[in-house]
Amino acid sequence: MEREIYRIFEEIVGPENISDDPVILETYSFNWLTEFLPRSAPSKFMEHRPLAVILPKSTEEVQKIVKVCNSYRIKFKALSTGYGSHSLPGQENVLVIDLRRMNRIIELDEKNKFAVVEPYVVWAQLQAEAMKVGLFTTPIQAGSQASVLANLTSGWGMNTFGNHGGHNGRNVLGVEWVLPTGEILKLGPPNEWFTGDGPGPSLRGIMRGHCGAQGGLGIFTKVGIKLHNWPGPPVLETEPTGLISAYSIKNLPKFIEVAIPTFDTYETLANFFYRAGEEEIAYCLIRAGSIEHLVTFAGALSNKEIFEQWFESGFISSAKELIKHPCVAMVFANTEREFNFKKKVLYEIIEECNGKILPVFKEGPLQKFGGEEMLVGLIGNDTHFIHHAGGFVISAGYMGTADAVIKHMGIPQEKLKKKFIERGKILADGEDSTYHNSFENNAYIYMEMEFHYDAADPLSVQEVREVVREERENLMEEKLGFEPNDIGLCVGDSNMDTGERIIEIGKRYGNFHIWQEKVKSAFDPLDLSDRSNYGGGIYMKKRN
Amino acid sequence: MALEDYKKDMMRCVRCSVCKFIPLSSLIKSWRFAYGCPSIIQKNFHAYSGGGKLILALSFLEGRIGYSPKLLEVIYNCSLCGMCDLTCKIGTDMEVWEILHEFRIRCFKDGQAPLPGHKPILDSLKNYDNVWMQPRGRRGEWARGINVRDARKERVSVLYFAGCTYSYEPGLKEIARKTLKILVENDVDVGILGNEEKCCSSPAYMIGDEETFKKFAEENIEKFNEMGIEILLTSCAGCYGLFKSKYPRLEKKMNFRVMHSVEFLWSLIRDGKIKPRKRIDMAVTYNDPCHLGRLSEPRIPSHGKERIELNTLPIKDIPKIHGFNGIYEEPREILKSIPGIKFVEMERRMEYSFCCGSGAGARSAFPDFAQKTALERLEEASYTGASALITACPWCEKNFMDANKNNGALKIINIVELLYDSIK
Repeated sequence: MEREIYRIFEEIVGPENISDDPVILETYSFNWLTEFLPRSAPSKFMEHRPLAVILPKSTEEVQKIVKVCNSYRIKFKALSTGYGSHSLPGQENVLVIDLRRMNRIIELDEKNKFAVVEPYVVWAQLQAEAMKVGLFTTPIQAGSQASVLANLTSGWGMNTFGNHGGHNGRNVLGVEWVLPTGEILKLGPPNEWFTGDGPGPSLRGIMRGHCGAQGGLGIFTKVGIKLHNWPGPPVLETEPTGLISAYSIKNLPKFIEVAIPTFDTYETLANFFYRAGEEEIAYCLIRAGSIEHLVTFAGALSNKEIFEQWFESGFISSAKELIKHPCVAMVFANTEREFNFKKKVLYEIIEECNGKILPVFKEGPLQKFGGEEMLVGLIGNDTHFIHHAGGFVISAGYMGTADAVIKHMGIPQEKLKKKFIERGKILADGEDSTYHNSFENNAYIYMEMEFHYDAADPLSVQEVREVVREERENLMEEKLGFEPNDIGLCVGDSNMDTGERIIEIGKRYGNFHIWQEKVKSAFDPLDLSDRSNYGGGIYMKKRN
Repeated sequence: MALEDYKKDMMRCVRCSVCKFIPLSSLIKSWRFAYGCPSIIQKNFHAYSGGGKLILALSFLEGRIGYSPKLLEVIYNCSLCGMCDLTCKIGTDMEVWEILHEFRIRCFKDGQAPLPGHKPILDSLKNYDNVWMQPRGRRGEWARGINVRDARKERVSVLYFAGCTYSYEPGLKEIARKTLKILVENDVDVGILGNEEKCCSSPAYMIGDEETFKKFAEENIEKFNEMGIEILLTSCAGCYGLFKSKYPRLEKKMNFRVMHSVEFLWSLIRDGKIKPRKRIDMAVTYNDPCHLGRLSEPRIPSHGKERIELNTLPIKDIPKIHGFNGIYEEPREILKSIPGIKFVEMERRMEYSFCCGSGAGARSAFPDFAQKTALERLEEASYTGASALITACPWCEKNFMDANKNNGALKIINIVELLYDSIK
């Protein structure tokens, strides 16, 4: 960066909060999935380092930075916790705005059940404070170390407590938004955060839509988030004796029940999801694929234990026939009466849908998957263990009814995964490694197929490219509504960038990418807010 | 051993940022004390986190970056407290601490280290066998007047190893004296080495000087074995952590058990040999030193050796150490045994205790970093409502005392002092 411009930025944030030293920049050139980006030679590093990295402390500083960017035509990309290659600029000469110093909970309104947070407040911090006043959050599956604001405003919205708390695209309330031009736009009433709409027409659809603009439309500096009921104590005490994620809870709430029923067919499993939704009983309703998949990501504290305890011991081979389609249903209530009612209904509908609670989940080696183990797993939400094989990717996310996701995505993808497991370079964690997450009492389900690979093995990386490409082609062929900005889009042919993939998909889905391009032009006339993961991406720009 | 051994682990980092916080599944208790890594709290750029340093190590190995003042500053602006290793290991088998340490060894081998702030430590070790530039002939002075057996001349079952700081530091010698007095007065078969005691070499090991570490460690092991002691007892958490966790890496047989004084003193209380009687009305909280806690278990590194099962599951045939089995209960039991003491916990405790900021050469090379880290911990202690922060490590104590100079509302007290006052 030119010294004159560098000094202007330096004056805004102070010399200790900006750097263009290669050592600092290098760590903003590497991320989860960067090995899949198009480039001339395989590498974990992106082809270009950022121009500089700057650390603002306030909205005012962000605004000043963006205005300087406008004056000097400098492209910028903001990140908060920054997990994944979509957090980094996909092109040359981009200023990275790391929002790490903006880390305050501005407000926690117990009565009206919402909080206002800055970009670097993570789910674990917000939920710790919310629980103290009887409220809870909807943490993203990326883990509770991830930014609340990023998930609400800029990417996805899936979460483990969605059955009770809903999709985070619907939990976003008021938003403070530094537009790519440097103007500040506040969604919702001035000085209020309880809603993101009005006065006037809602902009929430443009602001985040279904998947978020992934940094392509400016910088969000504050967000209001809807909070939900927490039936547990203000603080949960833990001790390191756990199975799923090392810790277990010492003061387990009284009115909680975790059941892991298993079903013989996808159809009966789907029926159970429908019935659980109709009865509105589940605080959490999720599924983590077949038994192999369940134990390989949650069954032990080391890879050695995973292999020896579950596979080498013969457990999996003997359990596979018995445990066909397990899922997790959690009942969590405020009162004994409510608890007894919900629990009774839960077990009645399990029976009604021909589900079984196998003894192995009650007193066998899997019993620890219930109760406090599952609660600490879900609340702690430490999901970086999904990378225990050295890499993890989902192919394409799909949202729809329980029947639809199983019919279109579940069964066909199992065949595909089986083929690739047999080829020997993706983790053999069962053909069915689909993760299902119910939203709003099963109004719809999010489903994704998971592939574990080894980022340190070039052949394994190449194999993931292949499987994801093949899966995407299958899905596009059938015109299914999978996530246009999905993680899986970062992966694929090495000579095709994310934007090209978005366009490929957009053509089949109402040309959404063209509409995104129109929004982009209106909000960012100078094209400064890095567009690598939005609209047609940088490919669209090159083409034009 | 080589940095290259861990290249696969570096490539498997996903930059999830778990390494910046205390373990998520321990369930973070507040917004304020959620962070676990002292370096990233202060410096903010991703490079300073555990994951950031893994990225830099990979970049270095691939020749994308070379040595520079900034690289050395990032590598050493860290107390190697092991929090990033603990949090990452809850979900993966990656050996984050080993990579951070190997990077330092590499800096030494390539002539880029020691840093100016570390040089006096190594010079002192070379010339005086201690880290404080003090003459060898005065090492045993701290024990003057105590009727203790001379382990150089007669066989004892317990060797009390004072360590450099308790031996020489005027404000801290009293801790070693009081510990020894309790032992002697309760007929423990204990002796000391006097002027022949030599540094454990923890500072050399932590800053990456393998050669110096090896020399001191081998000599010490040989000496302790020759003496036929059963227990090597120390009050210094730094010495304890090195003896217990890192000496075994030399693969030399150690015919003695390593104990910290809090373990030994608690056993005396538990067995009814000493009884705290005097009432001390005080609310206290306890700081778990990293080297008495999560870094105290023997860790045998994999050096990158692994086998692959289930197509892509890397399996390292080494015991996976999380730090759960450090010395946590004994100091708490001692405090609870003292009449009048009200014990309160900080949020970050036991295996996920927050570092004092002093370790691994951080205080010598980057005193500002060390002081700010200590202030962060002191603030956490203040939040508990305690009037005193109790320690069991001279390095933590010294660093907290210095940081506490300007706002000294909180007392910094060594656990031995409190116990001594209660039993006298």
